[in-house]
Amino acid sequence: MKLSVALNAEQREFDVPANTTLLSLLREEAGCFSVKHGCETGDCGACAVIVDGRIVNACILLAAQVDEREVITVEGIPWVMASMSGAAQHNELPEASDVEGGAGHNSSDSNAASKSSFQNPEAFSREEHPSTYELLHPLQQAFVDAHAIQCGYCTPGMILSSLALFAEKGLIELPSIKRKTRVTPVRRKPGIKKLPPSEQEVREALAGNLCRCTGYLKPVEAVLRAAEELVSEG
Amino acid sequence: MLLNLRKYYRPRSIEAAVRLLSANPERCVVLAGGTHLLASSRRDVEEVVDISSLKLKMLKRENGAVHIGATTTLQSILENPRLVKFAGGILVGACRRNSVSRMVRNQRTVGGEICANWKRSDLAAVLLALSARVKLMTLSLEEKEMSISDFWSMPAFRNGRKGSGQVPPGLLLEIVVSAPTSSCAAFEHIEQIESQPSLVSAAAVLAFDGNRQCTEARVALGSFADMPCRLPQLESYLQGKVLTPEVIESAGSTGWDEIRPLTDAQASGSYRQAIAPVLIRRLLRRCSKEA
Repeated sequence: MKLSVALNAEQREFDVPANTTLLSLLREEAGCFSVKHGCETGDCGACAVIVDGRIVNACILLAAQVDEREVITVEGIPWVMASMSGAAQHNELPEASDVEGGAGHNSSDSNAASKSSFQNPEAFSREEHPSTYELLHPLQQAFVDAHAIQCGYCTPGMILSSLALFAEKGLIELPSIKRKTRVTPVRRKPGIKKLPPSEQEVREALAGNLCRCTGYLKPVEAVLRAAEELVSEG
Repeated sequence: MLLNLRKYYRPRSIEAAVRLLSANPERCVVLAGGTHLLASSRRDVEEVVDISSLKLKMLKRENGAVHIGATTTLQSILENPRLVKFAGGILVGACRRNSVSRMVRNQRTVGGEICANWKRSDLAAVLLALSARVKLMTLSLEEKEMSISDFWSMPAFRNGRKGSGQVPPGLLLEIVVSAPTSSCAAFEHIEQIESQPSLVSAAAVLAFDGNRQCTEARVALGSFADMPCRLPQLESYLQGKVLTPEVIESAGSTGWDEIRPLTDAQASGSYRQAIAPVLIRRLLRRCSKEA
């Protein structure tokens, strides 16, 4: 059956059997290998993805269920970053040469391109924004800094669960190429400071992501650290 | 994975969905959130009818009753600030208890919990204690309203749907829940670890008069027998009584002759028989404090 899915800033068309799960679609058809194959029963959270702003398990969702819907995986994080706070954010992008393995292109061109893609998210691609693809989201960086990764199998799911929590708390806004549905952030009166999630909220958000090596203390620490950073950045 | 699934439908109207279900009732099933169906690996399912476009995702309060659409997710009930204190918080408590995973709660629907996981669901026990009513569209396109216990008494549930060739009763549209005024409610459960389903869950809704005498009692158990059950002997015992420690103690040992406890991989019948009175006493103690 034919499906049209907005996947990480790109409208993609697929033709798959009716019994294809979203997990199989993402890994085998779309090449999103950050989405991991775990329990296939919705217990481990290794296959977590964001569908229309909500974190879900891709293994217990048919691919057909996301037809005409929007999916974000870890491969879409550069797009989330580029649209996080518009031009102000992009002015702070480091020089490409400052980034290990950077593409070495002119940074001012990169900033200009990022601004234009923020206004036109459909145009966002790795070719146009190589430097953004070399950067880590503050959340990803916090996982590295807090040593919250060992084998890394559960990490993409934890990153996306945390991103969905940040979106819910209003710390970030998840981009959309459809602009029809998006997660509703906590309503906050103008002028009131953003608050990071509490440790309990982080623990609840990560409760569906099982880790068999690092444990949970370091990932929770990483998420809290990233939240503090996002709050301090405003 | 549904190995034999051949066709996926996402109809835009309830009538179209029911026609699809009635065209092949033995091999065609309803797909709501999919958390139970996709994890079940059923071989008998050849067609699914995805009901996500039927606009059954809704939550509203009317005349003190809560109307919950069949495709309302458990997470959206949790997030609704108007439901936090409804019926002593037992509805929200049962939704939270359903799964520790937000991912699962974002997908899992109330309708799916009632139709696919009703035997082991804490939410089913809570809805039974709250005397919930369900609205469904039958396969002959008649809209019916009935109590949730009558719904589970239908042949498709009584004999087990899975692979049995049973015809589904129709399409569940809505659940209506009301809490009696001046009542208190409590929900208790026991499990091996927090992320596991409950071994036994119990819910009670008790109404009291000005003298703290019980005027109405509804007590339900989940995961205890082969289906969620009320305890009529216990309920009639509690009528007109003040919940003193002595009454609570003897209530815990009342009414167990009428139900045969379930034995499965999670717990033996004798364990369930031993633990259920403990949960009942805890429920009554909590209600007596609020009375």
